[in-house]
Amino acid sequence: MLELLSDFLLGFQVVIFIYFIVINGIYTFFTLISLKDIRLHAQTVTNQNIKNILSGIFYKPLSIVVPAYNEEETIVANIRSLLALHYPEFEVIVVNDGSKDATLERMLAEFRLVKIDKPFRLILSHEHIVDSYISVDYPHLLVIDKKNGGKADALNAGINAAKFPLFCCIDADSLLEHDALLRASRLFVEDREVIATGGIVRVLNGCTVEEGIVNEVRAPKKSMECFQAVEYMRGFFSGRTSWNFFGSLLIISGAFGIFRKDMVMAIEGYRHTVGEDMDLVVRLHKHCKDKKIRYKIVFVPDPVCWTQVPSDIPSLLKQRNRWHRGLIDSLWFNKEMFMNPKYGTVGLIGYPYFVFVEALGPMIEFLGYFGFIIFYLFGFISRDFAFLFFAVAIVWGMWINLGSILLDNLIYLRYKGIKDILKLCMYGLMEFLGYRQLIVMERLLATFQFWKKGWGKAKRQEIKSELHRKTV
Amino acid sequence: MNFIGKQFKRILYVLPRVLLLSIFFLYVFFAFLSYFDYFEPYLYPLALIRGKAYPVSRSIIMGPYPHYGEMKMLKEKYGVTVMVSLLSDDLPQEKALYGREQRDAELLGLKAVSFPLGYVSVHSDSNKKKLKELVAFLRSSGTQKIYIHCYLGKHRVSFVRQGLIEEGIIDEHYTH
Repeated sequence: MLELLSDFLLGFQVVIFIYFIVINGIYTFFTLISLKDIRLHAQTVTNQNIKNILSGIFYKPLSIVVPAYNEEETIVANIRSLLALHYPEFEVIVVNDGSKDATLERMLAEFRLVKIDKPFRLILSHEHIVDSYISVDYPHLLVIDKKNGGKADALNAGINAAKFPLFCCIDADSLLEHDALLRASRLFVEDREVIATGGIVRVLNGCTVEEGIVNEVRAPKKSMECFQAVEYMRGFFSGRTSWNFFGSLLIISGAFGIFRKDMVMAIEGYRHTVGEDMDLVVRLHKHCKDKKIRYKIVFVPDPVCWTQVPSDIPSLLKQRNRWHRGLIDSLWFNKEMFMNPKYGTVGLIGYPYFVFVEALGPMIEFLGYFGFIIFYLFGFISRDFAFLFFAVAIVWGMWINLGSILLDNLIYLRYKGIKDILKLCMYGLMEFLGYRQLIVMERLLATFQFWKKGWGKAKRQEIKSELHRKTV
Repeated sequence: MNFIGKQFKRILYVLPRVLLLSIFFLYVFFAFLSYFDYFEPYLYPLALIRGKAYPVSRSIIMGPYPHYGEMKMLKEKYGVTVMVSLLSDDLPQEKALYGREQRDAELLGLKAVSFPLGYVSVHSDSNKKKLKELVAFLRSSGTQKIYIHCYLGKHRVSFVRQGLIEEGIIDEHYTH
């Protein structure tokens, strides 16, 4: 009996060991694929293409929808940055989702908003709209004040109010680069099958912002922010690019994504869940496959959205807990796609990856560490195995991080200072010695709280004062 | 009450996270430990919790793992001729320590024997079986002076002492 148990435990540890090899192998593979894909993209997207769109010959007008809940610190800078975007024809729709702070008052004062009596089509369901406003200074700025119903609800209200065929959702604590919309929406003009695109999201903390535009890119100051900057780089550089390559992109960040309005309306808009961004993309895949619609959901690596990340541990943990609950909820809701050949590579590769690596990964990784301790105490761990396990679980991950940071900087040249690059490299190496496990731990706890619908609001810093330069 | 409630909520939030995170740091600690051949109990900080050697009969002394100097003293001052190790042969460090003990014993002209006992569950069946073998060994060793030790000289020697009392080899109330 004892022998059977020890055999089982040993087998289990071998499975965990293989899991780490597979995970890090996938990340390494993804990094190589990303390199190829990004090089190809850089060759096709020239500045001339972008200028053609800007000249107004080929473009599709779009509505930018900004859901805002208690965003008094960032909303003005965000709207200013959106109004300054380079795009031939667009409107900005800010949906104040029943904020309890001065979000609405700030907008009223800053943009000279006047109340209008405009009826909206009620195609997607949402909470009651209290008032709607239009700016005297910026006629393409529309503000909707509605009762609180959550981010998905606010987005649905914004989509109902949108008048253009494309809409772009952006978080109220994020800033778009001036040509981000042009670069991201280019594909909708070039390819009729494209129904959604998403760009890179980078960490705003530490950068210098002027008049809503990021004009000096610096590494964040706080260590928690630096770790997140590394995570974002790795996630977007290798993860999203590779899934795009396989045609199985399951997430377009809620911070910045462009969608075809008719397709989103066909699936009844955003679902009321804490992971509404992933859920929308998964349901779009499902809808198109079910209805046999030829479609593409693509990640574009050059449009950049700068977002503010949590600076303190409690806010960060709340955010990650919410993301993980959203991920599980979305996977559960669309479970019929799992390993279903009807859904092609999405059902056979993308979906299982998200189930085993993203959703169950924290549990498997935690059991790996826990199992190691138990086996060590029972004398099952040899020095060679300990070395291999450490190399595969920790050191390999460190090198993947380092590779992502260096390649990202080599290709996009965002961080100009060598000090900033070295700083990020250092955090990339240190991520596996505590930070990653902190996140794994929170995601593990979130796995057992997946039924909770709480949002968990993070603390925000003011992005900028209106007249003075300020470092976030 | 409100304050206590808030504190209780905070503890409920922090505690599971700290516990889970400590698993990782324990892993790092053990992974680090696995690179060391020796982890001597007579060095700090373990020396602070190390037990002391004490005689349990005219011919048997029990205590913690001894270093070379202590083995020499056991031989010269107390006339010990046999070292009985209870160190486990599963744990790399304990196995290495026994190897060192064998070499030191050879240098000092002592006999070293091993009755490895597991340390996670001291009262396990396999330990009880080993104890029987040790009892048989002690009965056959006549008047030789024997030093029985485990790692810290606390749990495994206490288990053996209790077993020897039950077998009538030593007297519970024996004083030096």
